[in-house]
Amino acid sequence: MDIFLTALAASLSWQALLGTFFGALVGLIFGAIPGLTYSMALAMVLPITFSMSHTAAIAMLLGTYIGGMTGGAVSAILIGVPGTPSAAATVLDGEVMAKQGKASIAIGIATIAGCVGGILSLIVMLVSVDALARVAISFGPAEITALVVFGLSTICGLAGGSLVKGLIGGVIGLMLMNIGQDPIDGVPRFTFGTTAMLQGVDLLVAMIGLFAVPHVVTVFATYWRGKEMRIEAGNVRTELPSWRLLLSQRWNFLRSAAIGTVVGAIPGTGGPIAAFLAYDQAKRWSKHPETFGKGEVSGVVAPEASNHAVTGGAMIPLIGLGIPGDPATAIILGGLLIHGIQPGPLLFMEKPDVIMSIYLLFVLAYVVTALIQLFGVRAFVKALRVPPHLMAVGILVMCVIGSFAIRNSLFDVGVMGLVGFVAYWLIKGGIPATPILLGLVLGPTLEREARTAMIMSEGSPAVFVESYTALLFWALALVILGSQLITMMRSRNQGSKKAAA
Amino acid sequence: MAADRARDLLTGTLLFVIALVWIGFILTTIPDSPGSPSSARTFPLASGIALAVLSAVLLAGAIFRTSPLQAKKAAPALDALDWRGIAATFGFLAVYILLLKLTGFLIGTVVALAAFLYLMLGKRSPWLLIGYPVGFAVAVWLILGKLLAVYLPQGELINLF
Repeated sequence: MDIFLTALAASLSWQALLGTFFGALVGLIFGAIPGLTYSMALAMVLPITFSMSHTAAIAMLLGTYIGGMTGGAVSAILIGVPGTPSAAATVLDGEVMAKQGKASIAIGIATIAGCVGGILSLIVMLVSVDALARVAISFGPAEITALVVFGLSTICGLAGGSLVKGLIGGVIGLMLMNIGQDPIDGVPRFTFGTTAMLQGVDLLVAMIGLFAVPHVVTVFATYWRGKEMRIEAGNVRTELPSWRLLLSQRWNFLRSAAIGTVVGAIPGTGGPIAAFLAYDQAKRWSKHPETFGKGEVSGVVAPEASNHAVTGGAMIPLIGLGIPGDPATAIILGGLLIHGIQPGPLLFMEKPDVIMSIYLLFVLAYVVTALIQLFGVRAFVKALRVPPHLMAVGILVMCVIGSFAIRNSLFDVGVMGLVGFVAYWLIKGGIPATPILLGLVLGPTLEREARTAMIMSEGSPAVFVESYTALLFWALALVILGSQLITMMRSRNQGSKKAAA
Repeated sequence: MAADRARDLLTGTLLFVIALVWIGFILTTIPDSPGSPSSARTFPLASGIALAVLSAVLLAGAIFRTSPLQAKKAAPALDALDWRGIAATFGFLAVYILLLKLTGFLIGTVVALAAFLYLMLGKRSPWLLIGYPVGFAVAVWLILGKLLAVYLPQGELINLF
């Protein structure tokens, strides 16, 4: 009870409330504008949290994450372009509702659905994360190595069209984190004799360069090409759905939230899959499936409840095991590490108040996001009208300030630019950014734990397969790799058949 | 398909060369620990070898590619406007870093933003050229610098506040 009260007091402090509000606002704006991602928003707000208490920092990060997820629905409904990939399924009925003059109620129900879906996923998170952490407390370096390899195997799901390119991205992420002193012996690597390089590439600096800079280059090129998207969204006002309408959607809420939570808990999946699965299920269970795609309310509720439930699901492996499942949770993990919070089983024993704060701030972020979305929707419509090239200049300034604030070093700003430059070319070369991020986040843990296991076993590699837990993670990694290979071979065969036909 | 194939050939070749340079650099600059199960070399070397193998697979895939499906995923080649975007972004970063070093956050940001809007984006409205840089810089200075106590760059030559 004491832990709960301590966490409650910290979560309701003005710093935490302000952090949640600011984070939710930034997330909503970034989520609402097509092309800007909430991963980018998270990378940009992270440096702002340095001077804050860890509770206020978590509040801001969760606010940004959840705000970003919610904001995607605004542009999906108003202009038929999803602000985030997770809101793609919301377009199907949301845009039709807007054309029918029901934009305000569509945004209202989408916001409520997201809030309900997110909070329902928290309940599952509460029940499962503690059990997962209890199991994980017995893990040694060999098991953690296998777990990290399992986490890295999710690159397969995030690789996009090519498994090889996804793996190349992951390896490049690992290589970047090899720069600096090695974690066991302190030997300098790739430092070129400079002291600035001894600390290596800062995770956050790399994240900013990776996500924001390539986007800015693309926005400018699009502007000069004369193909910049001009958004003309009509005026909308706040309209809350009736209790009757909400109650009629109760099973849809529960079913979609369950789908989202399960999908979210599987690393490497994410919101778009959950949203389309939930949409499909809502249509199957509906008495009037023919109304879907024609402005059906259930077609907005299902994807929004589901993609928000992904946030709770994704927090299960993040908090319980310290394994991020998508770019956003990877950045949140980076933020927690910067604040001295190492997610995983030990956190439950050493800092139970932090765990409780995360739960409470999660609810707070949903409530604050919903309130801002409902009552500030007109402001977001205006934000949609800001030309992307003007937004991009501001983003570039924020990238510089964010990179500088980490260690008060202009050298880091240069590194951010360099990472951005390399990332742009890699993306142009078809190498996806997300696997690079996963390599960056998990690389140091992989090296530290694998080398510790090798030292403890006096060089015997058998240590990695001696326990059933490690074997389970190796097997899961192989299953993910195998299933991705099969999927790609099938799609290649289908492509060949179509071409032959 | 040709563009996709050419892109993969170029990417694969570049990454393969980078991997070889990386491995060579490790072998010549990072000391090994004979008798120890792993050393400071182990992971960078493993990563370099993995990159070499994967880029070789990418290259081989591009050379022997026959699938028409992947042809649809071909990205357009870089044109002059892409290059302009690259030059504008990284040119802005270089100039902005220099300005921050010399004049600090407020002056550096206002000057860099106004110059970029005028010279690169072709904006001519005085309201935009003055209002956006000044408004943005002051808002960031107040919120980050003053309210949240985030350290902002100080100028070596001039410094406001």
